[in-house]
Amino acid sequence: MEPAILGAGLAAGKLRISADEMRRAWGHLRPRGLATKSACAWDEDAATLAVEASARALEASGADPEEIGLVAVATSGHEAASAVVAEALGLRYARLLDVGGRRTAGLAALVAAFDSARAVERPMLAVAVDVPRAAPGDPAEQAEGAGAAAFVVGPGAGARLAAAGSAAREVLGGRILDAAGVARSPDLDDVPHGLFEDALAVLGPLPPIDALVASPVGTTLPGPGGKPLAARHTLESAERRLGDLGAAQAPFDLALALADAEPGHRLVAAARDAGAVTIVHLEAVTRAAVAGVKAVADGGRPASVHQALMERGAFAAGAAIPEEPLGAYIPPATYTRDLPARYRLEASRCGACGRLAYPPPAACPACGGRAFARERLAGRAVVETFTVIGRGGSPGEFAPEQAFAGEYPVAVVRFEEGPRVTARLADVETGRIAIGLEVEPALRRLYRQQGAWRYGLKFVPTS
Amino acid sequence: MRPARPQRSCREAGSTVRMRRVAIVGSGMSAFGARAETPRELFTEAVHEALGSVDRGLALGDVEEAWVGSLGFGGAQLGNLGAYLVEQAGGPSIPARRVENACASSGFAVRDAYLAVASGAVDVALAGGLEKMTDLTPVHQRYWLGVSGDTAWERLAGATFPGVYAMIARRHMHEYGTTREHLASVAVKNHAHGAKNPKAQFRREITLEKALSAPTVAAPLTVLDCCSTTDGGSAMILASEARARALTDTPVWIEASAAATDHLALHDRASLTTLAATERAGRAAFERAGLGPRDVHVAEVHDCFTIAEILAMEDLGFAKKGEGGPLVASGATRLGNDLVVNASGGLKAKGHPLGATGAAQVHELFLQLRGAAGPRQRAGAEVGLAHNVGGSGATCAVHVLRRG
Repeated sequence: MEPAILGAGLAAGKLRISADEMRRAWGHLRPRGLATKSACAWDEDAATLAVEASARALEASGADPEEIGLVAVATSGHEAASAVVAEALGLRYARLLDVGGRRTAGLAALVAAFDSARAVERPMLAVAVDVPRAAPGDPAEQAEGAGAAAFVVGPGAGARLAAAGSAAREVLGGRILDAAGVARSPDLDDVPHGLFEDALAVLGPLPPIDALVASPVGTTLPGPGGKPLAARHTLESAERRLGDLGAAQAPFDLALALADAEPGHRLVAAARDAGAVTIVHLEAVTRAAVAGVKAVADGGRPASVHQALMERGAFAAGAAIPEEPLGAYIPPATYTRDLPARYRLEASRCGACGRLAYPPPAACPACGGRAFARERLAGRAVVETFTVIGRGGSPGEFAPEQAFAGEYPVAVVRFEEGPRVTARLADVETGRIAIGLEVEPALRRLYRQQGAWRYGLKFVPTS
Repeated sequence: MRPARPQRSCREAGSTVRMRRVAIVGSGMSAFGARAETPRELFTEAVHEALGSVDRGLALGDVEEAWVGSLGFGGAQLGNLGAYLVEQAGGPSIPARRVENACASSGFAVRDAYLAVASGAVDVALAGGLEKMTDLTPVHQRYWLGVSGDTAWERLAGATFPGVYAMIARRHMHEYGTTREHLASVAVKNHAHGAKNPKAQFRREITLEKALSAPTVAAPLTVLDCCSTTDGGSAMILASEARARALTDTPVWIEASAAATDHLALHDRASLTTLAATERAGRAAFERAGLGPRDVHVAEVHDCFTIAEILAMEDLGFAKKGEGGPLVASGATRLGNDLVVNASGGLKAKGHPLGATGAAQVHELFLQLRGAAGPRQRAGAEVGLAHNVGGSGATCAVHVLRRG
């Protein structure tokens, strides 16, 4: 069976920086047409955005997580986020593929998912994600946004891949990462002459197309008669509101186009960087399920340039706060053993008395039984009580966070299945928190120790 | 008030075992605060004061066995700490061990020593506690505070002890209408009492306005709803009835010792507004003593946070559920009343050197029941209760004492 995009999901960093704020901070604004851009909050990174978009894509597709055969995560950096995505979503039997270093990587991951799904009739997951990387003061940082797009590709109805074409040439010094691992957008001149033509030749003849997305935004593709390739509908790239999403830009805009596409529509998405071009041609056979469009459009909290950089941990002052354990310490191995509960809300159902317990106990609190069946909580929960930990008052593990992000709320939440847990609240103004607030889980960064981020679930107001 | 029973059965050891009466014949504590002395000096200070308070004198060499409560804050001498402190105090041959139950460590040390003497295994025992908290930098303190709750889930959710008690307070306010003023009235009372205690860390009164306007630590708790980090040591001598009669004419009898534990994590407990460990230990202690809340003249309760004293009032039976706040705010538990709560200043004003606190509470009762508490004396005090909690309610030891 010909594979198709069964579902797609979007996510964006939770900070929004306005063009006016950027002009105020910088004295000028280089990217033209930018209204706002997104950036990661303290508890976000490429992995959490990839998880957020993937969870939405998976739900939209209806695919069984344990059937997913491939997790391909593309960024312009070098995070290996695929393992976090697989653990968080319970993709227990997936092959992990981390694709990095190029703006074209996002579309390349999507093509890889189609190739895999053609070879094995199982659903595959392709994710493209990028986050701001340039140093404070680097004008390149102005353009960079934080966002992710994920696609579940597999047998079924959706958007099929009519054709894909790529072309590559070595360009000296043209790698998209600089020495510090910072993404650079090469100038158009860096794309060797004829590369688009080569890729389009591989793609084959195009019918009239309904939607065209290209990354970087503003890129034109050579069309018939020496004119730029054109589409029936002009789409506004998400770049205007979220900033340049790097490797995720073309996949993100493609997902937005899919959300609007009528059955039979033809879509073309292209991405380029120095020495590489990838173009895909999709046919929307049926309406595609795309989740997260509204959440991304409506979400986010206003932030200053300075606040966003602080929450990114971009300032060296953070180094003065130790990340090494100085007392209470949970070794990574111990932490890892709890990941099914920490990432996926796996609770324990007692085989003897049926009591559901979370976090998982060693013995059933009701009857002492030790035989449990694993059962995932749905995640719907209510705040039973809460506090706000004042600046400077956190456990040591959260001291670096407090130095940059200040006070934070903690709550005891009760799941609709009965058990309770203590957890951080996120994406909510403290004034809005009240006993009875309905919340749902979101995987976020918690704290960093011994050079590694530890992730876990926070709770956010129910969407 | 019913008369004391001379002997009673010990539930822990089986109802058929006859237990001996146990008295406290001497007790001491170091001054609490940010102390310049080393841990061994602070503990020795308490031990020597305890020995010196025995009417007819006692040498450390007469002590048969020792129990020392400590969390081991900072980790410097985490192993063999009990033996270390006792040998440094001058008793290198005394069998000793560290008892660790967080902030209830020395409440349990007193209980363990009590059980040893009551059982007949030991005639003279030392129980005490020690914590040195202020030598650590604030950065290190943030790692060593909050190690006694549920670390895997509560702590890694960013919750501190003030945070957990703040969540209890928030829920208590929600369910029972407890107010910030009720909370603050605990701090005002205990600071007023602490001002009369020369060994208290904070010997100054505070106003309700000041307590209410203090900086927030974990909403709704302000810094004046929280106890401080403190250095201090405490120690006492427990003796069998026969030895007690030989050592002093004014023994203080341990009428009952009881303890209970509960889930470490607040989210695992049946109620967010009751410390079940306090309820169970309190009920057992009153039952064993043959007494009730109305019989108590002086109570030292575990007020690590203001809400904790309100919980203690309710869970020990001094007030109905939800009425602990109004009770304290009414002034009915201040000095000058029938029941005086935390005459020492409590953890709030006297200070809270974690492992030393439980025995220090019993020390205050020792003074009160011997009429030796000076300006904070509850006149005619005959029955006292000490209530020591570990973590946010995971462990609890309750002792009921009576003037000899």
